[in-house]
Amino acid sequence: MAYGFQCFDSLGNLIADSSAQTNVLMKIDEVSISLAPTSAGGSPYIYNLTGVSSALDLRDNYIIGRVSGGGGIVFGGSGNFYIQYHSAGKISFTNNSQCTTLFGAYRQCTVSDTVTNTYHVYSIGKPIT
Amino acid sequence: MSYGVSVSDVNGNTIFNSSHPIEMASYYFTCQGNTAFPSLPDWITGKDSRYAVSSFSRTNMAGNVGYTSNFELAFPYDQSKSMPTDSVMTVAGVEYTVRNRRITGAVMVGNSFIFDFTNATEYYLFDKDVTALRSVAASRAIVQYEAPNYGYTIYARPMSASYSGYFGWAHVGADLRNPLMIYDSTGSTTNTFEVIVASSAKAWGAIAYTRSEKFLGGMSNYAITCQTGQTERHTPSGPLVSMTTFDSRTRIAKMVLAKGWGGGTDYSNSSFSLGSLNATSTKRWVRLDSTKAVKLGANLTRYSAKYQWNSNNSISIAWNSNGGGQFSLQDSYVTDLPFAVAEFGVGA
Repeated sequence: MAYGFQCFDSLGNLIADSSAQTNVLMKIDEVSISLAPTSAGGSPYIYNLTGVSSALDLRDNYIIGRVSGGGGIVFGGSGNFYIQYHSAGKISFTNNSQCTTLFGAYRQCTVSDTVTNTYHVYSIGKPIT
Repeated sequence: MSYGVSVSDVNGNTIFNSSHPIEMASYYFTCQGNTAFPSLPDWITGKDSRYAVSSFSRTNMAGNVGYTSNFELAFPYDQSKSMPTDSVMTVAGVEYTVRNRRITGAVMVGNSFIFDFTNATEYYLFDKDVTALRSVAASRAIVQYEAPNYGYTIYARPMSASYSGYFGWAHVGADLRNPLMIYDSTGSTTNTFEVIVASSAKAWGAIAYTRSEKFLGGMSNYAITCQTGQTERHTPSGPLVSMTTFDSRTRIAKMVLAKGWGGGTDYSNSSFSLGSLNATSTKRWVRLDSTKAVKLGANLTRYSAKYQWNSNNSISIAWNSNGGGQFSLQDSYVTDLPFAVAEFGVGA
Protein backbone atom coordinates (compact mmCIF):
# COMPACT_ATOMS: atom_id res chain seq x y z
CA MET A 1 0.00 0.00 0.00
CA ALA A 2 1.21 3.51 -0.76
CA TYR A 3 -0.24 5.15 2.35
CA GLY A 4 -2.30 4.51 5.43
CA PHE A 5 -2.47 1.89 8.14
CA GLN A 6 -2.32 -1.86 8.06
CA CYS A 7 -2.62 -4.19 11.05
CA PHE A 8 -1.50 -7.82 11.02
CA ASP A 9 -1.91 -10.70 13.46
CA SER A 10 1.06 -12.71 14.73
CA LEU A 11 0.94 -14.93 11.66
CA GLY A 12 1.14 -12.00 9.28
CA ASN A 13 -2.53 -12.11 8.36
CA LEU A 14 -4.08 -8.77 7.49
CA ILE A 15 -6.66 -7.71 10.11
CA ALA A 16 -7.29 -4.09 9.18
CA ASP A 17 -6.32 -2.00 6.17
CA SER A 18 -7.07 1.68 5.78
CA SER A 19 -6.56 1.55 2.01
CA ALA A 20 -9.70 -0.59 1.61
CA GLN A 21 -13.27 0.10 2.62
CA THR A 22 -13.63 -1.05 6.22
CA ASN A 23 -16.99 -0.71 7.91
CA VAL A 24 -16.72 -1.14 11.65
CA LEU A 25 -19.29 -0.92 14.37
CA MET A 26 -18.47 2.02 16.56
CA LYS A 27 -20.40 2.90 19.68
CA ILE A 28 -20.93 6.62 19.58
CA ASP A 29 -23.31 7.20 22.46
CA GLU A 30 -25.38 5.79 25.27
CA VAL A 31 -28.57 7.68 25.96
CA SER A 32 -31.49 7.28 28.38
CA ILE A 33 -34.79 8.81 27.31
CA SER A 34 -38.04 9.16 29.24
CA LEU A 35 -41.19 9.66 27.19
CA ALA A 36 -44.88 9.75 27.94
CA PRO A 37 -47.15 8.09 25.36
CA THR A 38 -48.17 10.47 22.60
CA SER A 39 -51.82 9.76 23.42
CA ALA A 40 -51.10 11.21 26.86
CA GLY A 41 -49.50 14.32 25.44
CA GLY A 42 -45.93 13.12 25.17
CA SER A 43 -43.80 14.82 22.53
CA PRO A 44 -41.13 13.15 20.41
CA TYR A 45 -37.56 13.49 21.66
CA ILE A 46 -35.26 14.94 19.02
CA TYR A 47 -31.80 13.44 19.26
CA ASN A 48 -28.71 14.83 17.56
CA LEU A 49 -27.14 12.05 15.52
CA THR A 50 -24.33 13.78 13.73
CA GLY A 51 -23.91 12.62 10.16
CA VAL A 52 -27.27 10.96 9.59
CA SER A 53 -28.62 12.16 6.27
CA SER A 54 -31.77 10.19 5.41
CA ALA A 55 -34.11 7.46 6.56
CA LEU A 56 -32.15 5.03 4.39
CA ASP A 57 -28.88 6.17 5.91
CA LEU A 58 -30.32 5.68 9.39
CA ARG A 59 -31.50 2.18 8.54
CA ASP A 60 -28.31 1.02 6.84
CA ASN A 61 -25.54 2.76 8.74
CA TYR A 62 -26.67 3.04 12.35
CA ILE A 63 -27.84 0.63 15.01
CA ILE A 64 -29.83 1.99 17.90
CA GLY A 65 -30.29 -0.88 20.29
CA ARG A 66 -32.31 -0.77 23.46
CA VAL A 67 -30.17 -2.19 26.27
CA SER A 68 -32.53 -1.63 29.18
CA GLY A 69 -35.87 -0.09 29.79
CA GLY A 70 -39.35 -0.39 31.10
CA GLY A 71 -42.59 -1.48 29.60
CA GLY A 72 -42.91 -4.84 27.93
CA ILE A 73 -45.61 -6.31 25.79
CA VAL A 74 -47.26 -7.97 28.79
CA PHE A 75 -49.01 -4.77 29.65
CA GLY A 76 -49.96 -3.73 26.18
CA GLY A 77 -47.02 -1.64 25.09
CA SER A 78 -43.83 -2.67 23.44
CA GLY A 79 -41.92 -0.50 25.87
CA ASN A 80 -39.72 0.49 22.98
CA PHE A 81 -39.85 3.85 21.25
CA TYR A 82 -40.49 4.44 17.58
CA ILE A 83 -37.30 5.74 16.05
CA GLN A 84 -37.23 7.60 12.77
CA TYR A 85 -35.21 10.04 10.73
CA HIS A 86 -36.16 13.64 11.52
CA SER A 87 -33.85 15.88 9.53
CA ALA A 88 -30.17 16.16 8.67
CA GLY A 89 -28.24 15.23 11.80
CA LYS A 90 -31.36 14.51 13.84
CA ILE A 91 -33.59 11.54 14.61
CA SER A 92 -36.68 11.32 16.77
CA PHE A 93 -37.86 8.92 19.46
CA THR A 94 -41.60 8.61 20.01
CA ASN A 95 -43.54 6.62 22.58
CA ASN A 96 -46.39 5.21 20.51
CA SER A 97 -47.37 2.65 23.14
CA GLN A 98 -50.98 1.82 23.77
CA CYS A 99 -52.03 1.21 27.33
CA THR A 100 -54.08 -1.62 28.76
CA THR A 101 -55.29 -2.83 32.08
CA LEU A 102 -53.80 -5.89 33.74
CA PHE A 103 -56.54 -7.88 32.02
CA GLY A 104 -55.71 -6.64 28.54
CA ALA A 105 -58.52 -4.14 28.03
CA TYR A 106 -57.43 -0.90 26.39
CA ARG A 107 -57.49 2.21 28.53
CA GLN A 108 -56.51 5.85 28.16
CA CYS A 109 -52.77 6.40 28.65
CA THR A 110 -51.63 8.95 31.22
CA VAL A 111 -48.31 10.55 32.05
CA SER A 112 -47.82 7.86 34.67
CA ASP A 113 -47.29 5.48 31.73
CA THR A 114 -44.02 7.29 31.00
CA VAL A 115 -41.26 4.84 30.08
CA THR A 116 -37.50 5.27 30.33
CA ASN A 117 -35.36 3.39 27.83
CA THR A 118 -31.61 3.28 27.47
CA TYR A 119 -30.10 2.92 24.01
CA HIS A 120 -26.66 2.24 22.68
CA VAL A 121 -26.07 4.11 19.48
CA TYR A 122 -23.73 2.49 16.97
CA SER A 123 -22.46 3.71 13.66
CA ILE A 124 -21.51 1.30 10.88
CA GLY A 125 -18.75 2.62 8.71
CA LYS A 126 -19.28 6.37 8.92
CA PRO A 127 -16.85 9.22 9.49
CA ILE A 128 -16.81 9.82 13.24
CA THR A 129 -15.29 12.89 14.78
CA MET B 1 -11.99 15.03 17.53
CA SER B 2 -9.59 17.56 19.00
CA TYR B 3 -6.89 15.14 20.14
CA GLY B 4 -5.80 11.52 19.82
CA VAL B 5 -5.52 9.07 16.96
CA SER B 6 -8.00 8.49 14.16
CA VAL B 7 -7.58 6.05 11.28
CA SER B 8 -9.92 6.31 8.30
CA ASP B 9 -10.42 4.05 5.33
CA VAL B 10 -10.06 5.01 1.70
CA ASN B 11 -13.59 6.49 1.69
CA GLY B 12 -12.95 8.63 4.74
CA ASN B 13 -14.97 6.38 7.04
CA THR B 14 -13.54 5.78 10.49
CA ILE B 15 -11.86 2.43 11.13
CA PHE B 16 -11.02 3.35 14.71
CA ASN B 17 -10.11 6.35 16.79
CA SER B 18 -9.18 7.10 20.35
CA SER B 19 -12.53 8.58 21.31
CA HIS B 20 -15.11 5.90 20.48
CA PRO B 21 -14.93 2.16 21.13
CA ILE B 22 -15.34 -0.20 18.20
CA GLU B 23 -16.48 -3.82 18.46
CA MET B 24 -13.64 -6.28 18.98
CA ALA B 25 -13.29 -10.06 19.28
CA SER B 26 -12.82 -11.23 22.86
CA TYR B 27 -13.37 -14.98 22.79
CA TYR B 28 -13.42 -17.81 20.24
CA PHE B 29 -14.72 -21.36 20.54
CA THR B 30 -16.58 -24.02 18.60
CA CYS B 31 -19.80 -25.85 19.38
CA GLN B 32 -22.29 -28.15 17.75
CA GLY B 33 -25.60 -27.08 16.27
CA ASN B 34 -28.87 -28.36 17.72
CA THR B 35 -27.22 -29.00 21.10
CA ALA B 36 -27.16 -26.78 24.18
CA PHE B 37 -24.98 -23.71 23.70
CA PRO B 38 -21.98 -23.75 26.07
CA SER B 39 -21.83 -21.39 29.04
CA LEU B 40 -19.65 -18.38 28.38
CA PRO B 41 -16.99 -17.39 30.92
CA ASP B 42 -18.23 -14.55 33.10
CA TRP B 43 -15.09 -12.49 32.47
CA ILE B 44 -16.57 -11.79 29.03
CA THR B 45 -18.81 -9.23 30.70
CA GLY B 46 -15.89 -7.34 32.22
CA LYS B 47 -16.06 -8.70 35.76
CA ASP B 48 -12.27 -8.53 35.96
CA SER B 49 -12.62 -4.78 36.42
CA ARG B 50 -14.64 -5.17 39.59
CA TYR B 51 -14.29 -2.55 42.29
CA ALA B 52 -14.03 -3.30 46.03
CA VAL B 53 -16.66 -1.23 47.80
CA SER B 54 -16.14 -2.50 51.36
CA SER B 55 -14.76 -5.42 53.35
CA PHE B 56 -15.90 -7.11 56.55
CA SER B 57 -16.13 -10.54 58.17
CA ARG B 58 -19.09 -12.77 58.92
CA THR B 59 -19.36 -16.06 60.79
CA ASN B 60 -21.19 -18.85 59.02
CA MET B 61 -23.53 -21.29 60.74
CA ALA B 62 -22.32 -24.82 61.47
CA GLY B 63 -24.03 -28.05 60.50
CA ASN B 64 -26.88 -28.78 58.14
CA VAL B 65 -29.36 -25.94 58.52
CA GLY B 66 -31.75 -26.67 55.68
CA TYR B 67 -29.61 -26.34 52.58
CA THR B 68 -31.10 -26.85 49.13
CA SER B 69 -27.83 -26.73 47.20
CA ASN B 70 -24.19 -27.67 47.74
CA PHE B 71 -23.37 -24.13 46.72
CA GLU B 72 -25.23 -22.59 49.70
CA LEU B 73 -23.74 -21.39 52.97
CA ALA B 74 -25.88 -20.02 55.81
CA PHE B 75 -25.24 -16.99 58.00
CA PRO B 76 -27.31 -15.48 60.84
CA TYR B 77 -29.23 -12.55 59.39
CA ASP B 78 -27.31 -9.29 59.54
CA GLN B 79 -28.62 -6.46 57.42
CA SER B 80 -25.55 -4.34 58.10
CA LYS B 81 -23.35 -6.93 56.40
CA SER B 82 -25.41 -7.83 53.40
CA MET B 83 -23.53 -9.49 50.55
CA PRO B 84 -24.96 -8.47 47.16
CA THR B 85 -24.29 -10.42 43.98
CA ASP B 86 -20.58 -10.42 43.04
CA SER B 87 -19.45 -10.11 46.68
CA VAL B 88 -16.55 -12.48 47.33
CA MET B 89 -15.79 -14.69 50.33
CA THR B 90 -12.17 -15.83 50.44
CA VAL B 91 -11.25 -19.02 52.32
CA ALA B 92 -7.69 -20.39 52.19
CA GLY B 93 -6.99 -18.39 49.06
CA VAL B 94 -10.07 -19.67 47.22
CA GLU B 95 -12.61 -17.08 46.10
CA TYR B 96 -16.30 -17.87 46.37
CA THR B 97 -18.50 -15.38 44.50
CA VAL B 98 -22.06 -14.66 45.61
CA ARG B 99 -24.66 -15.43 42.96
CA ASN B 100 -27.89 -15.15 44.92
CA ARG B 101 -29.46 -15.00 48.38
CA ARG B 102 -32.56 -16.29 50.13
CA ILE B 103 -33.82 -15.63 53.64
CA THR B 104 -35.84 -17.88 55.93
CA GLY B 105 -37.11 -17.51 59.48
CA ALA B 106 -38.45 -13.96 59.34
CA VAL B 107 -41.56 -13.73 61.49
CA MET B 108 -44.46 -11.36 60.88
CA VAL B 109 -45.26 -9.27 63.94
CA GLY B 110 -48.95 -9.88 64.59
CA ASN B 111 -50.89 -9.01 61.45
CA SER B 112 -48.81 -5.91 60.77
CA PHE B 113 -46.97 -7.14 57.65
CA ILE B 114 -43.85 -5.97 59.47
CA PHE B 115 -41.29 -8.78 59.77
CA ASP B 116 -38.90 -9.49 62.61
CA PHE B 117 -35.58 -10.82 61.26
CA THR B 118 -33.94 -11.39 64.68
CA ASN B 119 -33.75 -15.15 64.24
CA ALA B 120 -33.72 -15.22 60.43
CA THR B 121 -31.11 -17.02 58.35
CA GLU B 122 -29.49 -15.85 55.13
CA TYR B 123 -28.50 -18.54 52.62
CA TYR B 124 -25.97 -17.27 50.13
CA LEU B 125 -25.63 -19.15 46.87
CA PHE B 126 -22.00 -19.16 45.71
CA ASP B 127 -20.40 -20.08 42.41
CA LYS B 128 -18.65 -23.13 43.92
CA ASP B 129 -19.37 -26.07 46.19
CA VAL B 130 -19.14 -24.89 49.82
CA THR B 131 -20.11 -28.09 51.64
CA ALA B 132 -16.57 -28.37 53.04
CA LEU B 133 -17.07 -25.06 54.86
CA ARG B 134 -20.23 -26.07 56.75
CA SER B 135 -18.74 -28.25 59.51
CA VAL B 136 -17.59 -25.37 61.70
CA ALA B 137 -18.75 -21.86 62.43
CA ALA B 138 -15.84 -19.72 61.31
CA SER B 139 -15.20 -16.08 60.59
CA ARG B 140 -15.14 -15.53 56.84
CA ALA B 141 -13.48 -12.62 55.05
CA ILE B 142 -15.93 -10.88 52.73
CA VAL B 143 -15.30 -8.17 50.16
CA GLN B 144 -18.27 -6.43 48.58
CA TYR B 145 -17.62 -5.72 44.92
CA GLU B 146 -19.31 -3.89 42.14
CA ALA B 147 -18.71 -5.57 38.81
CA PRO B 148 -19.32 -4.31 35.29
CA ASN B 149 -21.83 -6.21 33.21
CA TYR B 150 -20.99 -5.25 29.66
CA GLY B 151 -23.01 -6.84 26.93
CA TYR B 152 -21.56 -8.82 24.07
CA THR B 153 -22.48 -9.98 20.60
CA ILE B 154 -22.30 -13.48 19.19
CA TYR B 155 -20.96 -14.00 15.67
CA ALA B 156 -21.10 -17.51 14.22
CA ARG B 157 -20.36 -19.45 11.06
CA PRO B 158 -20.43 -23.12 10.03
CA MET B 159 -16.99 -24.68 10.14
CA SER B 160 -17.55 -26.86 7.11
CA ALA B 161 -17.05 -25.08 3.77
CA SER B 162 -19.72 -27.32 2.28
CA TYR B 163 -22.42 -26.47 4.82
CA SER B 164 -25.73 -25.38 3.33
CA GLY B 165 -28.77 -24.59 5.43
CA TYR B 166 -30.04 -21.95 7.80
CA PHE B 167 -29.27 -21.36 11.44
CA GLY B 168 -30.10 -19.03 14.33
CA TRP B 169 -30.95 -19.05 18.03
CA ALA B 170 -33.63 -21.39 19.37
CA HIS B 171 -34.35 -23.53 22.39
CA VAL B 172 -33.22 -27.14 22.41
CA GLY B 173 -36.08 -29.25 21.08
CA ALA B 174 -38.13 -26.06 20.57
CA ASP B 175 -39.03 -26.44 24.24
CA LEU B 176 -39.07 -23.08 25.97
CA ARG B 177 -37.86 -24.64 29.23
CA ASN B 178 -34.65 -25.87 27.61
CA PRO B 179 -31.42 -23.94 27.16
CA LEU B 180 -30.61 -22.10 23.97
CA MET B 181 -28.76 -23.63 21.06
CA ILE B 182 -27.74 -22.74 17.54
CA TYR B 183 -30.66 -24.16 15.58
CA ASP B 184 -29.37 -25.87 12.44
CA SER B 185 -31.99 -26.58 9.78
CA THR B 186 -30.14 -29.68 8.62
CA GLY B 187 -31.26 -31.39 11.83
CA SER B 188 -27.76 -32.67 12.46
CA THR B 189 -26.25 -32.52 15.94
CA THR B 190 -22.73 -32.96 14.63
CA ASN B 191 -22.30 -29.86 12.48
CA THR B 192 -19.65 -27.68 14.09
CA PHE B 193 -20.10 -23.92 14.32
CA GLU B 194 -17.33 -21.46 15.02
CA VAL B 195 -18.26 -18.68 17.43
CA ILE B 196 -16.63 -15.33 18.11
CA VAL B 197 -17.84 -13.34 21.08
CA ALA B 198 -17.35 -9.66 20.35
CA SER B 199 -17.45 -6.85 22.87
CA SER B 200 -17.31 -3.12 22.81
CA ALA B 201 -13.64 -2.18 22.97
CA LYS B 202 -14.44 -0.59 26.32
CA ALA B 203 -15.58 -3.99 27.60
CA TRP B 204 -12.63 -5.70 25.95
CA GLY B 205 -10.31 -3.41 27.88
CA ALA B 206 -12.09 -4.33 31.10
CA ILE B 207 -11.05 -7.98 30.65
CA ALA B 208 -7.81 -8.76 32.48
CA TYR B 209 -4.74 -8.83 30.29
CA THR B 210 -3.88 -12.23 31.80
CA ARG B 211 -6.82 -13.71 29.85
CA SER B 212 -4.88 -14.89 26.84
CA GLU B 213 -8.15 -15.91 25.15
CA LYS B 214 -8.96 -12.27 24.46
CA PHE B 215 -5.97 -11.78 22.18
CA LEU B 216 -7.39 -13.15 18.95
CA GLY B 217 -4.66 -11.45 16.98
CA GLY B 218 -2.30 -14.08 18.33
CA MET B 219 0.05 -11.83 20.28
CA SER B 220 -0.21 -10.27 23.70
CA ASN B 221 3.08 -8.54 24.29
CA TYR B 222 3.06 -5.63 21.87
CA ALA B 223 0.39 -3.57 20.22
CA ILE B 224 -1.04 -0.33 19.07
CA THR B 225 -3.74 0.58 21.53
CA CYS B 226 -6.05 3.57 21.59
CA GLN B 227 -7.31 4.88 24.90
CA THR B 228 -9.69 7.58 26.01
CA GLY B 229 -8.81 10.03 28.73
CA GLN B 230 -9.63 9.08 32.31
CA THR B 231 -13.22 10.13 31.91
CA GLU B 232 -15.39 7.08 32.59
CA ARG B 233 -15.92 4.39 35.23
CA HIS B 234 -16.42 0.66 34.81
CA THR B 235 -18.75 0.60 37.84
CA PRO B 236 -20.74 3.34 39.60
CA SER B 237 -18.32 3.63 42.54
CA GLY B 238 -15.15 2.79 40.67
CA PRO B 239 -12.43 5.29 39.78
CA LEU B 240 -12.30 7.27 36.58
CA VAL B 241 -10.12 5.25 34.25
CA SER B 242 -8.89 5.25 30.70
CA MET B 243 -11.02 3.14 28.34
CA THR B 244 -9.85 1.13 25.36
CA THR B 245 -11.22 2.09 21.95
CA PHE B 246 -8.93 -0.06 19.77
CA ASP B 247 -6.20 -2.64 20.33
CA SER B 248 -4.27 -4.42 17.59
CA ARG B 249 -3.85 -7.58 19.69
CA THR B 250 -7.26 -8.79 18.73
CA ARG B 251 -9.53 -8.64 15.70
CA ILE B 252 -12.10 -6.02 14.91
CA ALA B 253 -15.60 -6.74 13.64
CA LYS B 254 -15.86 -5.33 10.14
CA MET B 255 -19.34 -5.17 8.71
CA VAL B 256 -19.59 -6.47 5.16
CA LEU B 257 -23.38 -6.31 5.00
CA ALA B 258 -25.60 -4.78 7.66
CA LYS B 259 -29.27 -3.91 7.71
CA GLY B 260 -31.92 -3.15 10.25
CA TRP B 261 -35.01 -5.34 9.75
CA GLY B 262 -38.23 -5.74 11.70
CA GLY B 263 -38.97 -9.32 10.69
CA GLY B 264 -41.33 -10.74 8.07
CA THR B 265 -45.03 -11.49 8.10
CA ASP B 266 -45.88 -13.65 11.06
CA TYR B 267 -47.96 -16.22 9.20
CA SER B 268 -45.85 -17.11 6.20
CA ASN B 269 -42.35 -18.06 5.24
CA SER B 270 -40.24 -15.55 3.35
CA SER B 271 -36.70 -14.40 2.77
CA PHE B 272 -34.83 -11.14 3.13
CA SER B 273 -31.74 -9.98 1.29
CA LEU B 274 -28.88 -8.32 3.11
CA GLY B 275 -27.19 -7.48 -0.19
CA SER B 276 -24.56 -9.06 -2.38
CA LEU B 277 -21.24 -10.45 -1.24
CA ASN B 278 -18.09 -10.46 -3.29
CA ALA B 279 -16.19 -13.73 -3.58
CA THR B 280 -13.44 -14.14 -1.00
CA SER B 281 -11.76 -16.81 1.05
CA THR B 282 -11.77 -14.59 4.13
CA LYS B 283 -14.24 -16.12 6.54
CA ARG B 284 -17.65 -14.45 6.84
CA TRP B 285 -19.49 -14.42 10.16
CA VAL B 286 -23.13 -13.62 10.90
CA ARG B 287 -24.31 -11.47 13.77
CA LEU B 288 -26.56 -13.96 15.53
CA ASP B 289 -28.18 -11.88 18.28
CA SER B 290 -31.27 -10.70 16.40
CA THR B 291 -32.33 -14.25 15.51
CA LYS B 292 -33.53 -14.60 19.10
CA ALA B 293 -36.46 -12.30 18.43
CA VAL B 294 -39.81 -13.80 17.50
CA LYS B 295 -43.25 -12.92 16.24
CA LEU B 296 -46.13 -15.01 17.48
CA GLY B 297 -48.07 -16.53 14.60
CA ALA B 298 -51.17 -18.67 14.28
CA ASN B 299 -51.50 -21.47 16.85
CA LEU B 300 -48.71 -19.86 18.87
CA THR B 301 -46.10 -20.67 16.23
CA ARG B 302 -43.05 -18.51 16.71
CA TYR B 303 -41.64 -16.98 13.56
CA SER B 304 -38.04 -15.92 13.65
CA ALA B 305 -35.20 -15.01 11.33
CA LYS B 306 -32.31 -17.33 10.58
CA TYR B 307 -29.28 -16.86 8.40
CA GLN B 308 -29.59 -18.77 5.14
CA TRP B 309 -26.05 -19.92 4.50
CA ASN B 310 -25.42 -21.19 1.00
CA SER B 311 -21.69 -20.52 1.04
CA ASN B 312 -19.15 -18.04 2.39
CA ASN B 313 -20.19 -15.74 -0.45
CA SER B 314 -23.97 -16.26 -0.38
CA ILE B 315 -25.76 -15.39 2.86
CA SER B 316 -29.30 -14.07 3.32
CA ILE B 317 -32.16 -14.26 5.82
CA ALA B 318 -34.75 -17.04 6.01
CA TRP B 319 -37.99 -16.23 7.83
CA ASN B 320 -40.04 -19.15 9.13
CA SER B 321 -41.29 -20.84 12.27
CA ASN B 322 -38.75 -23.69 12.24
CA GLY B 323 -36.74 -23.88 15.42
CA GLY B 324 -38.89 -21.27 17.09
CA GLY B 325 -36.34 -18.64 18.06
CA GLN B 326 -36.14 -17.67 21.72
CA PHE B 327 -39.38 -17.23 23.53
CA SER B 328 -39.11 -14.08 25.55
CA LEU B 329 -41.55 -11.26 26.00
CA GLN B 330 -38.64 -8.87 25.86
CA ASP B 331 -37.30 -10.27 22.58
CA SER B 332 -40.33 -9.77 20.37
CA TYR B 333 -39.91 -7.53 17.38
CA VAL B 334 -40.76 -4.03 18.48
CA THR B 335 -38.46 -2.22 16.08
CA ASP B 336 -35.88 -2.99 13.44
CA LEU B 337 -33.07 -5.20 14.66
CA PRO B 338 -29.55 -5.41 13.29
CA PHE B 339 -28.67 -8.25 10.92
CA ALA B 340 -25.17 -8.34 9.58
CA VAL B 341 -22.45 -10.31 7.88
CA ALA B 342 -19.02 -9.49 9.22
CA GLU B 343 -15.38 -10.33 8.72
CA PHE B 344 -12.69 -10.48 11.40
CA GLY B 345 -9.80 -10.37 8.97
CA VAL B 346 -7.67 -13.01 7.31
CA GLY B 347 -6.86 -15.99 9.52
CA ALA B 348 -9.80 -15.60 11.88
